Formats: sequence, C-alpha cells, structure tokens
Amino acid sequence: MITNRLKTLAILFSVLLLIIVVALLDRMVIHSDRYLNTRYTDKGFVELMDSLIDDAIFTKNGENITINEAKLNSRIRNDATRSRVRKALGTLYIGKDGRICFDRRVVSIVNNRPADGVPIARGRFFDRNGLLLVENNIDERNWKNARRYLYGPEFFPIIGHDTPIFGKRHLENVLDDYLLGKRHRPVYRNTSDPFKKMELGDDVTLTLDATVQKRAYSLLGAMRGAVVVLDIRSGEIVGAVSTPSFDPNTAKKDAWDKAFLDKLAKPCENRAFSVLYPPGSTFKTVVAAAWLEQQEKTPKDSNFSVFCNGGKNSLNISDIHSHGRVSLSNAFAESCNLYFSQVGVMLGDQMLDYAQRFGFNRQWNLLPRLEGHDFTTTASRAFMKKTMLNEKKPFDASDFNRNPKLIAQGAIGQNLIMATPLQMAVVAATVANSGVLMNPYLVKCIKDGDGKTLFSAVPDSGTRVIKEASASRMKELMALVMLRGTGKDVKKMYYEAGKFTTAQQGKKGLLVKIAGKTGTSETGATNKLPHSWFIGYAPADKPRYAIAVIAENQGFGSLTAAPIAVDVLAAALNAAR
Amino acid sequence: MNTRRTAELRYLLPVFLVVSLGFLILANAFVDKGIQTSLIRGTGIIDIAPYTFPILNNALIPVYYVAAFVLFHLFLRFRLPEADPLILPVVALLSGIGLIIMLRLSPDLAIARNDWLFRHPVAVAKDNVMALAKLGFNQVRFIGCGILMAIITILTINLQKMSAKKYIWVLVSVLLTVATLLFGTTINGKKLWIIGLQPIEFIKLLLLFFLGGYIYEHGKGIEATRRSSMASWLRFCGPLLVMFVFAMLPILLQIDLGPSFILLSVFLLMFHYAGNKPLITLIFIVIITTTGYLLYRTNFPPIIHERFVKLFDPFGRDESLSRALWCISSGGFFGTGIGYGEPQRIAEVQSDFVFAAICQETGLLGAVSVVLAYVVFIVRCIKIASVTANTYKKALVVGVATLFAVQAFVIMAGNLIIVPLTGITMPLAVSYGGSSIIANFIAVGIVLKISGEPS
Repeated sequence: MITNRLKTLAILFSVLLLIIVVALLDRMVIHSDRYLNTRYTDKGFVELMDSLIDDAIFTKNGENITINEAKLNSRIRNDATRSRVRKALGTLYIGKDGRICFDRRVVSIVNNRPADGVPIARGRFFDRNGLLLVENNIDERNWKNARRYLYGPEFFPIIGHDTPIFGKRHLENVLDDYLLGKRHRPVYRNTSDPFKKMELGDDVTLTLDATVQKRAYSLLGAMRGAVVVLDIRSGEIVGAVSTPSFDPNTAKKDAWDKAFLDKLAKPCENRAFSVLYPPGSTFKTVVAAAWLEQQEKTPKDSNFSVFCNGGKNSLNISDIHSHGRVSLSNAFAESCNLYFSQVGVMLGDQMLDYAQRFGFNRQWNLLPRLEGHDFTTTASRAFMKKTMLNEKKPFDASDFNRNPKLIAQGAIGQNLIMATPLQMAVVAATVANSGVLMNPYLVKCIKDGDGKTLFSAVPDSGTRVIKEASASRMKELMALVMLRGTGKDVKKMYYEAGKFTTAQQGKKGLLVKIAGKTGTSETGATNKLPHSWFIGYAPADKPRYAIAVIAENQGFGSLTAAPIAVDVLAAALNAAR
Repeated sequence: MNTRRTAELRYLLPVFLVVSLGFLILANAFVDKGIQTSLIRGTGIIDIAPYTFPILNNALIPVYYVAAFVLFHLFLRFRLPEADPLILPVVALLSGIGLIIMLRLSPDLAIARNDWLFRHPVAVAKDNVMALAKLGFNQVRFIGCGILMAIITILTINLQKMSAKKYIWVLVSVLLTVATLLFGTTINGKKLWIIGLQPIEFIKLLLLFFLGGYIYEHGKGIEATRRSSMASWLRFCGPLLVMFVFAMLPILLQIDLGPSFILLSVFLLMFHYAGNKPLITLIFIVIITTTGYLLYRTNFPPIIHERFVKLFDPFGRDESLSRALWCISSGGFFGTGIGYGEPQRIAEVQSDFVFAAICQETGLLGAVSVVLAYVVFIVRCIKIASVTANTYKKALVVGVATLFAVQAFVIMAGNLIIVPLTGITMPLAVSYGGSSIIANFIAVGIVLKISGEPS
C-alpha cells in the first residue's frame, strides 16, 4: 500500500519533473532565439582590463600602447592571466577622447550556428561583362556566408560591404532584399547536408566595367580624387572610382575604425558621387552653353569679345594669362576667366536656369527604374543661398543683380558652385549627346538564382537640355580646347592595331580626337595647390564615352586630371570592343 | 508462460528497434562526415595528420548492446521471473541513448582535442586523444560490466542478512573516503579517484543500505516520534543524524559539493519518508537553504559563489554554460539529427553536458523522452515499494528511487541552467563514467531482486 509519506515523495518527484519540462520548453521553444542570439562576453576579463587601464598599467607612446611590466607583475599573480593580458595588448586602441580603450568584442564570441531555417547564399555582383566582382561561398559546416570582394578598393565606394559587425553600406545595403532573394519566392538548391536546403539570393550585374575601374584606380594611385565614366548614349555609368578607398576584405578591426574615423582621407566617402568640389573652369561649359542658347534667342551680343590683359577686371576677376582680345571660341579654348566672368554677369539668372537643367541643385538617383530602391548622390549646388529659416534655396533674379562680383565668381566655377564629379560628367555627356541628358544609372540587370531576369535597365528617352545646334557648337568648342587650347599638350590617344593607346607622339597610329575642358579650381586653402579637373568625351566626332576626373590639390587640370582622363577613355574604348 | 517476462520482452523489442534506428542514423551521419566505420576487427580509422587514430567506431557495438541486454533478460527469466517488467526496458533505453551519444561524440571530440594539442604541444598528447576516441567502446564495456555486476548482485546479495547491519556501512564508506584522500590520484586538484574508480558512487549505495537498515530497525520508533517529545526524537533520530554527518564530513571536506548535496537531499527525503515530524523536515530545509545562502554571501568556499554567479549570468561569466545554452536552444522541436548538431563545442560534454547534447540533436521530443524514461523508472520503483511488505526492502527501493530522481533532476536542471553546475553524471549510463554506471546497475540489480523475490 502507498503510505502518505510515499505519496509525498511521489508528489515531490512530479514537481521536479514539471520544473524540468517547463525549463525545457523555455530553453528550447519559447525563448530559444533570445538565447541563440546572445553573445558571450568574458566580463571577468573585461573588468580586469578596465581596472588595469584605470591603474595605468598601460602607457601611451604617441600611437602605440605599451605595458608597464613591473606594475603588471605586481598586480597579477597568475601566469596564465598575465600572458592573456599581454596577448590582449594588441586589441587596445586609443578612443575618441584620447583614453586607452579595450574592445569588448575581442573577448566575446557569438553563436554561429543558425537555429534552423534555411541558410541564404547572398547574391553576387558582376560587372557589365559578367566578370565576378564579389564572390560568395557558403561554408557548409556552419552555414555562414564567406564574402570576398575580388576588386575590393576599386569597387568599395559603389558596392560597399556586408559584414556581421560593421553592417551594410552602399549597394550592399540598398539592394539588400534582392541580394537575399527576398523579393520573390525562394530559389532552392540542395546542399551536401541531406537535411538542409539553401536559398539563393539574386545576382546583380552592374553597368561598371572592371577593366576601366582598375585602370582608373591605378592611375589615381596615391592621389585623392575621383573618376566617372559615362556611356553617352544610354547614361550607364561605366566607371566610378574614388580614392583613397578601402578594402572591405580587411579582417583587422583597426583598419575599419581608421577608415570610418579618418576625417582627412575619408575612404568611406564616395568622392565620385557624394563629395562636392568647386568645378572651376569646367563650369564654363555650362556658362558657354547658356550663352549660346541665349544668343539664339536674343542675338545681340553674338560677337561679344573681351580684352584680357591678365589683370583684374571690374568684377575683381583675374587670370594668370593674358589672352588678348578673345571671343567665345578662344575664350573657351584658353579658359579665359575675364571673358566668362563678364558673360556670366550678363547672363544673370540664365546661368542658374541652365545649371539646373544640367542637373545642378538636384540629387541623382542612380537606380531610376528600380522600384523602391534609391541610390541617391549628393546634389551639386549652383547659386544656392541660405534663407532666414536655414534652408537652402536657389538665387532669385534679384540676387543676381545685387552682387555682380559674386556672380562673376560663380561664372568661373568658384564660390557659389559646388559639383560632384558625376555631375560634371553628366554635363560633358549631355553636350556630347547632342544636348539630351540621360539619367546616369548603375545597375544593368538583376537575375535570380535560376537565371531569370528580375530587372533589366532600359535607358529612358532623356531630357533635352540645350538645342542640337547649340550642342554641336559646344562640341566644336570642346574639341578646340584639346586642339589648340589649354589641352593641346595633353597626351594624345591613337588607334593602332585594333586598340586604343596613349603612347608617345611619333607612333604610327590613327589619332583619336578627344574633346573636353580642363579646370583648375581654387580650393580656398592658400597652402595647397588647386584641384585638377578635366571633363570631356571621346572620340570627338562620334562620342561614345564621357568622363570627369578630379585630382585633389594637384594643380593644373591639364597637368594631372587630363592625362588620367585620356588613359581611362582609352581603356573604356578598348573595353567596349 | 510467464506473463511478466513476456511483457518485458514486449517492451524490450521496441527499445531495441529504436536504439538500432539511432545507430543507423549515426552511421549515416558518419558517412556524411567522412568517418569510416568498419565491421572487421571493429575499428574505424581517421587519418589526422600527423596521427592516425583508431576511432573504434565498431559497427558491431549495437550487436554487443542487444546481446548484453538479451542475456540479462534471459537471466531474469530463470532467476527472477516475477521481477518488474518495465525496469529492464527502461534501463536498456537509457543505456542505449547514452551509447549512441558517446559513439557520436568520440570522433568529433578526438579530432578537436587533437587539433588543440597540435597547437599546444603537451607530452600526454596521444593518450589524451585516445581516451576520447574510445568513448563509445569504453561505454559499452562499462555497460557490460554493469550488467555483469547486476547479475552478480542478484545472485549473491542476501537482503535478510544485510538488513541486520547498519553501522558497518557507515564505517566502510568513511574508510573508503579516507583511503581515497590518502592514496587516491589527484585530478583537477581533487582526490576523487582510487584504482580507477570513483568511490563516491558506491558510497551513495552504502549509505542507502545504512538508511535502509536503520529505518528497518527503528522505523516504528521514528514514526512514533511524530507525536512524541523531543527527547524520544533524539533517541531515535539522533544516531541517524550523527552517523550521517560522520559519513558526509570527509566528502564535504574535499569540497566535492555536488555529491554532498545529493547525499544531503536523499538523506532528508528518506528521513521524511521514514516518518519523522514534518516540522523537522521543514527545519532542515530552512537550515540548508540559509547555510547555502550564507555560504554564497560570505564567498566561502569561493567555488559556491562562482557557481552561482555563473548560473545567474551565463552569457557574461561562463563560456561552457553559454555554449551549452546555445546548443540546447538550437535543438528546436525535432532536433538537428544525431550527428548533425555541434555538441562537441561544449567542454566536457561527454560527462557533464550529455543532456544538452541530447537536447540539441534529438530536440524537444528526444529530451522529453529521456525525462519520461526516468519518470517511468521512478514510478515503477514506487510501485514496487508500495507492494513490498518488508520494511527494509521497501526503504531500499524508495532510496534508490529518491537517489535517481534527485540526481537526474539536479543534472538536467544544471544542463538547462536553472541550477548551478555540479559534477554529477546522469544516472543509468547516459553519461560517460565507469563507476557511475556500475554502481547504478548494482542498484538496478537490487531493485529487480526486491521486486522479483517474494517478501
């Protein structure tokens, strides 16, 4: 018979059983994701390191941090702990306020086995010719994506990165749902694990050309700057490079921190799309185009000319060369500041109007026909002012009359004008395209894991910015720049044996004419050289590609930016074959 | 035709089926992972440069396992035809699960240890890895020994004679503990082993014998103390307490806290079962709780404080607890499948965290099945106790049930991180540990003998 005491024991055992079952349910079912996703951090060691830092066991020598061995030995008895602290020395860094900091992430680990659910192979990036740019492999032991950027620094400002710690940037972020294959029903693949399938993300084909990117990146070298190459007829961005750049394959944490915190080099900013520079003389393209259109409408100053003596004129604008008496062709070819300053003042708000037609004061969306996704660039600014309410507005007509000296500076691309290299490339491309502006875009097509095309970019019909006649006149002017203007000593491009090259003069090849405009823009910093700019297109008679190059603080446009542009245009023309 | 034994056979066959299925799944997982299993000479080899390890994944191990339990069943048919029909199948099930897990773990652990030693060269490299490679093999040997010991126990133990002796068990256990303290081998700073055995497992049994004997002799007296004065309580229960403290002290002094706590709880529960005043039980519980709390607060011994800190903040303080929690929570409902989880990431998974490995690989269903297996065993023990007339046998069976229940609870709760970690193993051959398996099987033998013989 079961006595009362036995019954008590039985009840107790049932209670124990219940506790176990409830705990099982909680750990395995109810809160399982919370436990799975919590990091383990060795708080004991972190507290130890923090207390060691507070006790000044570590000392700063400029950039380096060293250990005071004597203090360490007296403070810690245990040998193993001591060697652990020594090993952790490499993870110390100097924080924002100059204090030594210890990064907790170093002693924390994360559970890297997904609970269940299907691993997703993240989509890859290809260039326009199908060359693989970003490789993605799934490690089938722990189902993690191992992502490798095959041309890391060249493509980083466009593609960005996707890492577990630092998150996603640029296209990896914007196109995240495509890359994870979330915009359609899952595409499955079998894996070596018989119980597991994996999903495939979508592959993105960019309009960029890897050979052009590599060439532009290597030509820019250690300089800070950017190159943008556009396909004139469609608006595809064939090349976009920004230096200094960053290699997202880096596993070292301090490299990432430096990249994000470096305020001077700014490797995480895309100088091609998002950084504004004064365009300098390259803006004269816009002014000249406005002047031509104006003369069509009101042909009064058709033979307007100016005497340039190299000194300051009434608008306080000077030029380092004295050009003599110049009209539009010569002034444009020689890039005469005095001429254009006067023209600018005469144009007044027409400059603003045409600048805005060319795309100033407007952000470009580089994914124009991809619904729900925007990759916008910084808006270039022309003649904007800050109102009382602290918002930015373009000048109105009265502002143009108020301060001619200011307007004159704007006419030569300084002061009130700030442009991204992309914007100036669009200016060149529009001129080359007979005055029709094509919205630049980055993504050529997106295909899912089975190869089905989800998105294919089709260029739109474009917007007419200037009349065809004005455009052809502009093309003549730009060709003149390279023929006998500021660009006449720039290296030439030849077509020889089926390739475009930029070899020395004297070779036997067909000369390929290039058209463009050099620019040398003052930065406002007196101890630094001005920015070196070049915008243009090639071949001059049948334009295929437009380019904009800026090399920060490298002096004359014809000196640095123009030769780079010629080389990159040659690479682009070769790649097109 | 004996109905009990045929019933037992009817329960044994599905157990064998399920366990064989488990072995098949494991073999498939090995094929996936590239670990070879071989029938000939019973060894599989992994080539891990620079060593070649015989992994001893004997494909015949399931055959040995089935043969051993069939042998035991046949023995019971002849010797104890009236024994309880559910005990043996449950024991077979739990041992089978333990065997599968050990076989599953040994290659991964051996490879991991080998890699680690490769990077941190230590003199005993090879032996270390070989010990891990032999987990499955050793486990089946222990189970075989256990069954043999159970058979010997059933054949030789005379419960009548045993019921007369009380204090000799206490003496033997104290001597054993002292001997271990003096002559034992030190592992991890603690002297717990002597001649390859952990005596604490056997001491638990010896103390159960003592408790049984005492209850048998003074049972009525103890029961009478429920309504009588303090003086009579002291007379009947005093010696019990004194003896128990005497037995436990050496263990406590070794700061081997897990088994001490188990012994203490078992003693408390058995004391309550024996029939003392409920108030006394309550007082004891209060005393133990407050002592525990004081020890935690005053940070003495430091290991108690440490263990509780790790319990309350596993993700900040203890790496192996975090890993165990990750493994458990990644199990899901059906588990990842035997061989497809990653339990080898937990430290000492084969002895301390087997339940976490079971949770991950067999999921919620598998874990609940293991819990239910223990429940079946305990319920059957209580049933046996309820139909036994002899007080000594009754007390013994209840003692075994209590011991297994408390032990299983503490370990499973420790794996699930609701109770601080102790060093105990899962009863009935689910964990790896020779002495534990042998002692548990002896206890099973005793239970079977008690249920099989008319009292």
